[in-house]
Amino acid sequence: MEEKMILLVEDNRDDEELTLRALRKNNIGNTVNVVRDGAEALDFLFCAGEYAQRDIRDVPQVILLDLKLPKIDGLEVLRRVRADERTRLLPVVILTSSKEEQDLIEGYKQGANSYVRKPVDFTQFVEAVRELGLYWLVLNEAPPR
Amino acid sequence: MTLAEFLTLLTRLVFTLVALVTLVQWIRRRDATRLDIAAVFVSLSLSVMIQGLEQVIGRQFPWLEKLGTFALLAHPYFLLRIAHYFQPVRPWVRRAALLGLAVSWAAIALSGATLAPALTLVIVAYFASVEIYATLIFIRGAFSTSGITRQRLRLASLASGLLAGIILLAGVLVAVPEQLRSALSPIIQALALLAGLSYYLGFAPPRWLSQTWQLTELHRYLRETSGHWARVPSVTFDHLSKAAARAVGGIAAAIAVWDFEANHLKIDAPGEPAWHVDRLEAQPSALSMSWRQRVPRLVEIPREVPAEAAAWAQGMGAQSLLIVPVVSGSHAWAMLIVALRHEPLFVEDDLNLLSLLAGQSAIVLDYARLLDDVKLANQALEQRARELSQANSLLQTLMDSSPDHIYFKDEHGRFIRNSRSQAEMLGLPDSAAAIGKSDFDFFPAGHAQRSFTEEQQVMRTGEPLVGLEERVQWPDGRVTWVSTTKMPLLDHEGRVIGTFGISRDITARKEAEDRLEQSNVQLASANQELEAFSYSVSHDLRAPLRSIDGFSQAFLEDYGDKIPAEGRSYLDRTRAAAQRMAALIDDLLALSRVSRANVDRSAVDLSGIAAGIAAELQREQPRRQVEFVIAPGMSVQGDENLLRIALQNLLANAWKFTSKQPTARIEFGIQPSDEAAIFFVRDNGSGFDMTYVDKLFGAFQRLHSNEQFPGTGIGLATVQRIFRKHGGRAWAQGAVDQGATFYFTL
Repeated sequence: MEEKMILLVEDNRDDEELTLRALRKNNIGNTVNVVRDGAEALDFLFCAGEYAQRDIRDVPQVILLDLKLPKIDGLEVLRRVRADERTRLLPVVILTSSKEEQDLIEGYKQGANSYVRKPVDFTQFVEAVRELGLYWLVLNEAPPR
Repeated sequence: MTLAEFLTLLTRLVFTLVALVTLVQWIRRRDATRLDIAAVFVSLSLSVMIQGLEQVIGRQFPWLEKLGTFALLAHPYFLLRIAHYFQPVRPWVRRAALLGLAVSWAAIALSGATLAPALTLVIVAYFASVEIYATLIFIRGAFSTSGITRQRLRLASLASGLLAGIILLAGVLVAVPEQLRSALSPIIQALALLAGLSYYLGFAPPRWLSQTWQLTELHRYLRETSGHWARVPSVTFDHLSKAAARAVGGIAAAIAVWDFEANHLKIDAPGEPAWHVDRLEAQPSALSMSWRQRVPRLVEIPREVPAEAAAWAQGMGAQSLLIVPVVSGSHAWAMLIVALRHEPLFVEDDLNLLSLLAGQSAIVLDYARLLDDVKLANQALEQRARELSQANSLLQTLMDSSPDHIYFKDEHGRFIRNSRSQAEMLGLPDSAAAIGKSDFDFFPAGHAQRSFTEEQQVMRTGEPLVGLEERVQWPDGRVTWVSTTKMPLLDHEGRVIGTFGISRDITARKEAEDRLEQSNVQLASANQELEAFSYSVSHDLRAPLRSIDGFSQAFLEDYGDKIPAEGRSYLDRTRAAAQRMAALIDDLLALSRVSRANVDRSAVDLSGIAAGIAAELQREQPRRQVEFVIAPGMSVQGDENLLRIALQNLLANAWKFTSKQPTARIEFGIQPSDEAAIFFVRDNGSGFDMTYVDKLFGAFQRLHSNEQFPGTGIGLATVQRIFRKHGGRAWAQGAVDQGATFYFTL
């Protein structure tokens, strides 16, 4: 319960592996729950479907959210997270390939806390993950439960 | 009473009447003429009147009878004075007559009750010869004059002739036996009565006779002039002056007209150049008095007339002038001036007759003027009709040849006039066939009702409806689009009496618009697809690159010590290729975004933006020595985001291509130009070969290898596209190792 858990929403197995590697590389040992589409992400957050048994009070410290997702896309997930009283204040970092202006605008409009573009250069990616971890897991005070 | 006694009485009455009338006339007027006339008749009638008096009283007065005889003997002399009015009597005739009178008087005075036959013969000779002389003058005068004067002279000559005959007869009777004398006496009485009547009618005619004579003259004048009523006053004046001179036996006649411009009387006499009498106020002559008072009068020459008029009249031997105004109602046309050889005997008659003629002429002149007015009015009407006809023909030309439909409608929406083009579309043989019909006769009810409502609105508000676009289904089934302007139709007082309109066939334009709209829709859809594609590229094309790079790096990190150096180099190259491809994708997406972007214009501070970019570049590579020279205050109207991208590319290029210079210099400035301002970015970097300048702005075109200067070859293509979008362009100048200058306009 005290542990700061990370929810990674990512459909690409390669990106998932690389993200986890980057976290490991930066010695971020927090639990990382990985869900592979928007619907699964919502089930996880609201303890529905296969996550029905999960304790809803176990909320992630930060959600790393991809935008382009099967079933329900990232922006829609973000909208529902912000619409629900229980998850309204959850920090959400959009982590995506796109740096299209419309995605940026829409992301922030829906209440994203950060928007990070995944660089192709893995070295830069590792650096970006390090900074994210430092900020959201260490520096940032999570909203009160 | 016997016939002889009756005749005697009648004769006495007539003679007494004539004497009294002429005497009264003289007493009334007291002029020389009337005195002469009175003298003639009083002398003639005195003895008769005395005999009558004696008969009435029943006593005889011998001395009175002698006085009557003296007076009777003076009669021929007085008649001679009258004759002098018509023809100058020679002095020796006058002297002979006076001698005869003196001898006669002496004979009567000296002799007793009976007269010696020789003396009787002398007296008869004197009396008869002078009477005959006067008679001859009267006869001659009757022939040489005309009008009323002639009538009077005929009667006068008859009377004088009769008197001469009576005297001769009386002279003869002295010598004939008593029996024959008494038998001839009634004849003498009858002749005397006739003479008296003739004198009476000639010298003191009753009003009805004067008027009959006047009317005869007037009738004659009218008959002469009626055939050619003059269009110009001068012809009428000509007629009048001729008729006037003839009617009163004048030498000549002239017409005086008031010239309002010159403010003088202009006198026009036949056969004479016109002359004028200056300034009536300055020369108050009888002429000017007559003009002002409009009263006919007789004036003496030269006492009462201006010098010019006197000279004219005297030149012809005239002694007096008759002046008669030519007046109708209130309008004074002119003055008629008739020159007479001597003072007329019957001034009243003459003036009356001339006034009658002048009045008639004035009526003729009035009519002529009226005719002129009517003619002028007619001409104005004809002119107006011609103008209208011309205006109508211009309108008709327009209505016949305009490809646009033009129509006029009354307040109920019924056609008044249509252009030929519209009639053709309505399927009518000619434009007249539409008159009286309305839209309801040609178009579907909905269309007609809408059109009617619009026209009612135009009439109600007085405001035109401009450029109404509507689809029209014509009677033959054709369908077109028209653009119609409907306006209120006003009458000449500005009241709305209907509508008129012009319709233009815009079917072709409408179809073009439809096609344009379709292609716009297609374009929008293509753009959408392109955006979806770009989005997909941005996401999906990068993901594999990330895997390639990421796992290569992971491999190097985890197993790098287990593979030879060459293997590690291969993996490095794999990573470099992946990263370069990612850069290409990013640049391509940027170019695509620029292509799709709208230019949102506002004031853009180019100097400020350039300074910001320069600072950023310097911050990224702080060890480089680069001098930026940026002209201050460069500001344009443009899209700030796009211009920032363009400047970013240009300045980053300059930064990149000066990287091998120990002291780099990058200049951003503006060149003076007559037209649009020319901006430039100049560097002292590696430059380029002008041979390949055309390739500089093409996408993926590079003049340097990636090893020399890294790059994707898309930046300048993006720059060119941005300036094109602003309506400007970009071009470059340079030489190898001598730097490059990039120019652009907006």
